[in-house]
This record gives sequence, structure tokens and C-alpha cells, in this order.
Amino acid sequence: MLSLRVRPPTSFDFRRFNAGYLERQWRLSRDCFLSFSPKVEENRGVRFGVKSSKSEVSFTAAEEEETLPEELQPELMPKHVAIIMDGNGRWAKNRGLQPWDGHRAGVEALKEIVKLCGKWGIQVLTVFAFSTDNWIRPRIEIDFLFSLFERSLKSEFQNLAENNVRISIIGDSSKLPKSLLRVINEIEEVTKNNTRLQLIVAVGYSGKYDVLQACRGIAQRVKDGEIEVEEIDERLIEEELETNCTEFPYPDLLIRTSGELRVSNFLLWQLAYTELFFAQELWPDFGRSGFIEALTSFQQRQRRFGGRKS
Amino acid sequence: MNNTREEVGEFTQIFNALMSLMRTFIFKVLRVGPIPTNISFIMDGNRRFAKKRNLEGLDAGHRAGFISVKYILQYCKEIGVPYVTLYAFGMDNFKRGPEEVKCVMDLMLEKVELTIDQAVSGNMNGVRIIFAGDLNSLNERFRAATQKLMKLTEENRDLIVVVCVAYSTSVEIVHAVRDSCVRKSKIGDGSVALELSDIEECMYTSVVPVPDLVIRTGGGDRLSNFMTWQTSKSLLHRTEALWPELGLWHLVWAILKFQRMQDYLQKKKKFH
Repeated sequence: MLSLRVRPPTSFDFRRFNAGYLERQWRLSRDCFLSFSPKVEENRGVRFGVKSSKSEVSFTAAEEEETLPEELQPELMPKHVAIIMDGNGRWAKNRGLQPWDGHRAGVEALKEIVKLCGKWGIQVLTVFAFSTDNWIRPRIEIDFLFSLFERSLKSEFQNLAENNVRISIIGDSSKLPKSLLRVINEIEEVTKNNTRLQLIVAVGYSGKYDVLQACRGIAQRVKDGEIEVEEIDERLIEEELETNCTEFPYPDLLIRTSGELRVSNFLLWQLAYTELFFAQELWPDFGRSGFIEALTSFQQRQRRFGGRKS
Repeated sequence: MNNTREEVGEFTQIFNALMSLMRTFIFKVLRVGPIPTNISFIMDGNRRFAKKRNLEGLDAGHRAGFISVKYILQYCKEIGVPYVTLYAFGMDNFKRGPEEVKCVMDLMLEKVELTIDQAVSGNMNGVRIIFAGDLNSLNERFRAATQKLMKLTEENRDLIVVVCVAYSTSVEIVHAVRDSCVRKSKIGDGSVALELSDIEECMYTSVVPVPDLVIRTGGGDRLSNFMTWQTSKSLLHRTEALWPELGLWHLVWAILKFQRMQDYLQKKKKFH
């Protein structure tokens, strides 16, 4: 049963969140409203007291070899991991903070996971940042989310480019603010030849919408006489989906945090044979240990893809 | 559907009656909370069960699985779940050895013909059976039998069972796109703007509502290309029990879990 998977909280989880940290958070969120001054941003990574990728810039080969934990076997690592980053709001509520503090903590957690993926040889990481269902959230939260996204992209730009990470954004970009779109296009263009890790961020994305737009494209091609109705097959649809930006569109492992047991309209077609892992922790608490647990569980599973293991 | 062919002794009758009474009480308690409208089962683990119990024959596990199906359908009917979906055979299962595929197909044909006899003799207890999937890829005899059974049970309303045979979401979506393209071109308007409703209408399972609860047996934690479109908002429940081992308590536990998640679900629905 899933309930048996809950890990009792260890001191490691609480170490990061002591009283001093909370006070810094409170001061920062107050600053957030006053201004988005560059001084506040530069110190943000340091003040959090959490390892931010700014302090560790380059990876060496030796570091890579020794950081794969013993529980994990290198040949069974998934090529494509998808994550639904759920629980920022609840995390903030549990600590008496505002939802945007939860999102900021979420961004820090994401940075850590991206670093781990790069080190451990995972080729593609897809994260569900913003769904079409999230548009009904309060306007102030949505605005904050997009500005946070923009700031994070700008600040991590250099870092990602240096570390050979490619960024792709999928989803309905028509409702996003123009400044964010500009930054996205720029960063996609600059990093498009990087090969170490592909980070796909799903913003304004919905699995059904993805399939629908693929089908619309195909229907248009049929109407234009390019293809016959009988020629429509799975491969054609796969080529039209937004995940055609990557070589491995099908996730091997999907992780959802915060204990919710559903897929919530993320990556529909691609999830056909994906192993699902539901973690009880909230997203900002899901760090290296949670990730190792998910990967260990994945490596122990038998995948048959409908056939039979003889 | 719960009568066996052999004689039922007196003690067994009393035992059955007691069990039935106990179930009535349990289900009455369950019904205080919300009951899922459509429960969908991914019936995994038949062969492992046969191996575990050292049963002979390629289809022994699947036969045991069929008995389990009957019991689960009966429980669902008693609880009052209106729709049940079963993942009987997927398009990707054709990849298995030809002997095993033939065996399973023959078994399914046998059971369908048995059910047809039951339907003809008026013993269906108000259960309607619908077959969903790419039925054209099945052999002629099987297809004819499925059509006949669907026709015979069309009027029943107590419990609607959707049996997914030769089914997989990818095939379903391809088929839905083809159908909607053909439909749109027949209407002949200038723009081919497909809407979500167009695709959903052409799905194999469009006649029933989307599943609220998906129960997967056999310990696997994946969707296996089963209704990934329709289950995007459903609760995914998995259990380590193999399909023939699935019993009353697993079902009750799954429904209780569904009821526990209702608060969160209602909150989400309120915003939509």
C-alpha cells in the first residue's frame, strides 16, 4: 500500500528550516513587496542557507563518479524523468508563510534536482510548472509566479549555458507575459545545442491540449491533401506533440510529490508505460533523499510494456 | 451472475446468506459517503497467481481471474456503483507469445458465449455489457459474439460494464482523430478547428462517464496505456494483491480512500 512508503521525518529535513531561516524568509518576503532590487537578488542564494547552484558552478568527472549513491545502479537509470512539483502552497501554509514563499522554496528544490540529474546521467527532465488548470489561482499569485520564473531564468542563464543544459518550454504560451516570452525564446535559442541534460518546463501545459493541438495539425494536413486519413497513425501524432523537441519523449519515471494520487492532466499520451511514483513529501522538502528513494523504487520495478518477461 | 452450476448444500446456503447480510451492512455504511461513479480495474497478475498456486494450463490464471471478475462485479452492483470498466486485453498484449494470445482469446470467447446463454435465458440481473476497443482487429467469431452480447443486454441499466478488449489509448486517439477528420470534412466548412469535444465523442469509451477511481492490481504502478486520457483527474490506487486475489476488503479500502480524497477533489472542482 502506498501509505507504507511514508518516510518518517528525519533531522535532515528540519535542519534547513530553523528559526533564523524563517526570519530571513519573512524579511525577504517583505522586501519582495518593496522592490525587486538587484541587491536583494544577489544575496538571495546566500541568505537562504540552502545550497544554490551559484556556489557550485562546474562539475568535474571525478565528482560525477563519486556522487552516484550505492543504492543506484548506473545501467538502470531512467533516461527521462518527469516531475509534478506539487505542494508549494501547502508547504508555505504549514509554516505560516505566504504562497509565494512556497514557490520560491520550490525553485530552490528544483535547482537541486536539476543538478542531480545532470550529475547522474539522466538525459531529460520534464517538470510541470504551470498547468492550464492553474489559471484560476489569484492574479497576484500568477503574476508572482511568472516574475519568479523570469527572474530564475535570467539568473540561471549563465549557469545553465556553462553546464551544457538545454532548456525547452512547452505549453500554451499565448497567455504568458511578453517579457517572459522574450526571455524564454532567448534562452531556448542560446542553449539549443547543449547535450548534457535537457530540461523541459511545462508552462500553461495540459496533456489534453497537447494531443488536441497535435490532432488539429494533422487534421489541417489532411485537409490540405498532404496526407490521407488512413495514414494517420501513432507515429504521426507523436511527431506533432510538443514533446517532439526531445529524443526521448516518453518518461520512464513520473514523480508526484505531496501525496496526491493522480496525474492531473500532465503528459497524457507520453505516460503510456511510465512508472509512477507518488511521494508523500511536499515539493520544497523533496530533495536528494526523496529523489534517491524514487530512483531506487524505479530500478526495482519490472517493466514489461504489455509483453511478457519469459 | 452469482449462481454456480453445482448443487449448493444447506450449510453453504446459510453461509452465503450470512455473508450477504454482512456485506449489506458494510455497504450501507460505505454509501453514507460518496461512491465513485465509474470504477476502472487494471486486472494484472493472473499468470503470477497461477505460478504461485502451481495451477496447470496456460490459461489457468486467467480462469481464476474471471471468477474474480464475477465477484467484483457483484460487489460493485451491491454497493451501487453505476459503471465499471475492465481492462481485459490491451493492444500491446498481442506482443505476447502466439500460444498465450490464442489461449486468452479462446477463453474470452468461451466466457462471452456463456454470458450470451445467460442473457438469452434472462439471467443477467440487469447488467449491461459494452465492449470497447478496436474490435475490428479481433477474429470474426469473437467480434460477432461481442456484437450479439451488446445487443442482448442493451436495455439493462442496473450496472453497466465496459470491457476493454484490443484497447489502448494511443489506438483510441488515432481512431478518434481519423473519425473526427472524416466527420469534419463531410461537414465541409472552411476551417478544420477540432475541439476537445470532437475527439472525446469519437472515443471508444464515450458512452460512459470518466473513471473516478482506477484500481490496479499486481503491484505495478503505471497506467499501461489504459485510458490515460480519461483518467487524468482520477484517483489512482494500486494494490500488491494479484487480480484473482482481489477481494471485498480491497474494494472497500479503495472506496474509503476515494472518500477520504473527496475534500480535496471538491475543493478543486469548486474552482472550475
